[in-house]
Amino acid sequence: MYGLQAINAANGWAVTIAGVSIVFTGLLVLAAVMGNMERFLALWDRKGEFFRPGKGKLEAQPVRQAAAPGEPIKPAVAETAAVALASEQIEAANAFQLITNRLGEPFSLPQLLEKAAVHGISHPHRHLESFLKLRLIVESEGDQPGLYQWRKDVRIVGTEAEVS
Amino acid sequence: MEQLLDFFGNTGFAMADYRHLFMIAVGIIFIYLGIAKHYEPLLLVPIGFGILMGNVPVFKGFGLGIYEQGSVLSYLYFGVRQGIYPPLIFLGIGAMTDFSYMLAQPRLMILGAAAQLGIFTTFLAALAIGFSPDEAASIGIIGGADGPTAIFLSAKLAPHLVGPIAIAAYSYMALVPVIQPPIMYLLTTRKERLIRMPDPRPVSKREKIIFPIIGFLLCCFLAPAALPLLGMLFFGNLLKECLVADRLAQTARTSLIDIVTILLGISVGASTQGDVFLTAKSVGIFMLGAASFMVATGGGILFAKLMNVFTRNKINPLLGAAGVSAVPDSARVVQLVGNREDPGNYLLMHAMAPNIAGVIGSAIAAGVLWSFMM
Repeated sequence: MYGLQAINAANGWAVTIAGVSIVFTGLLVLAAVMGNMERFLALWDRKGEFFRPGKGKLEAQPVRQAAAPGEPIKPAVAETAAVALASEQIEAANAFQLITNRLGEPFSLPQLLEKAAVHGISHPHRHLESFLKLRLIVESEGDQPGLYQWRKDVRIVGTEAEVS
Repeated sequence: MEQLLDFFGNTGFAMADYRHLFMIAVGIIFIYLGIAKHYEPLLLVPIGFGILMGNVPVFKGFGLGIYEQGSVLSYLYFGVRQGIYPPLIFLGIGAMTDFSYMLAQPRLMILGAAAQLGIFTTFLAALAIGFSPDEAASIGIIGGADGPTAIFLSAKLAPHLVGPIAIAAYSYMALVPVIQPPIMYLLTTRKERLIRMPDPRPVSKREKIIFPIIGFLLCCFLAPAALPLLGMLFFGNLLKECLVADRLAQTARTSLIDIVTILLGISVGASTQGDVFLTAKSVGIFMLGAASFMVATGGGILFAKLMNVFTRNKINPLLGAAGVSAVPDSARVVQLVGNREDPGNYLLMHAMAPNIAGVIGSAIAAGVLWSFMM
């Protein structure tokens, strides 16, 4: 069989229409989902806003210390300082922390930048500079000059909601 | 004397006929194109040498030929026959591909879908000229311009045509810079070719990590038969993007893909023998393969022009040609053609979006065709 007869016998038209539709549907849906992913993620980052009164920077919540019977309750003291970062910076900080977890602390900045570039983190130099300026990353004390570490007494928060 | 004559009778010189010699010449030409002309050398050199290995006349029964059970070549060919090598190659491709160009401009993914029209029109044409449905589907997938996908589908549906289909697919992929530009000039005006695309937005790391998971689930729920190919593609990409499996991603995009490419190339080449290759069917496959590339290019360009009717932010229609998933050659051709009109117009990173989407689209199309033909 040849020509249209062969196509009809093999349900060629139905296979073609179904196939084209499925390919288009798949990529259209994927495009729609990924096109809105940035918005979904921004909403997810701001989820805390829906449950907290008011907006803006969050300060570290003071922790109440348990008191012995009879002793006055001491006023709570904030244990960590909070640094507010934009979501792009928070993402970079999380990625840097993953890398430094594997490098171990204290770590070398050139090594951190090299790994960041290999892993496709965007603008690693700019982010690292901002973390150094904000003193999230500081030079290690002791007998290892030129190596750096994360400050343990600082907490990263989002500019709109706490994310870590 | 009798022993000497017996010995001579068992040599390749005595057993060779014109088909062996012709195929050996084809193998040498492939090696020449790969080494001297740098046409897809990583594929043409193994395939070319495989053709030489598969077309040396051997005495049947010694377990030497690729189609003889228990031979070394048949064990290597097992990965092609059972569709193992193509998903492993896709694993490596996923581990070396940056999907951010596509994520930054999701609407360009549709152009990758439009270019897959070449697959289905070729399928219809193959049916019309007398190929069986399984054969027609295997020939149609050449239009996807994706070697592993073409080998995967033809191994499942028409294993006797794996050799000519693979050779047609890789030959036309190497000829993309020759096939596409005339169609691009024919279907676009100068004004359209001069359209500049806006800079793509930066894509966050989180999006790049989430995409392979969502992409895999969406595509495979829609076309489950595409699971081996798309599963490995997205898995490889997740290994690359997640930062915590760097060693695995490095292995997938270097050693693993190289090993599999060697085995795939040599065994596909060895399976391409004169009695299958030198037939009218092969001529039909080569003609249909060329047509499928042309239709795919035209389909992508015309769909881009159609999108421009409905969108305010115009797309340069040349990007539609990049939906032909010969990564990154067709994107480079778009860049060259656009650059010729306007040296300041850099289309390469925009063209990578439909180019990569085309890989996903051709894998979905392969899954759909396989499920219909099962």
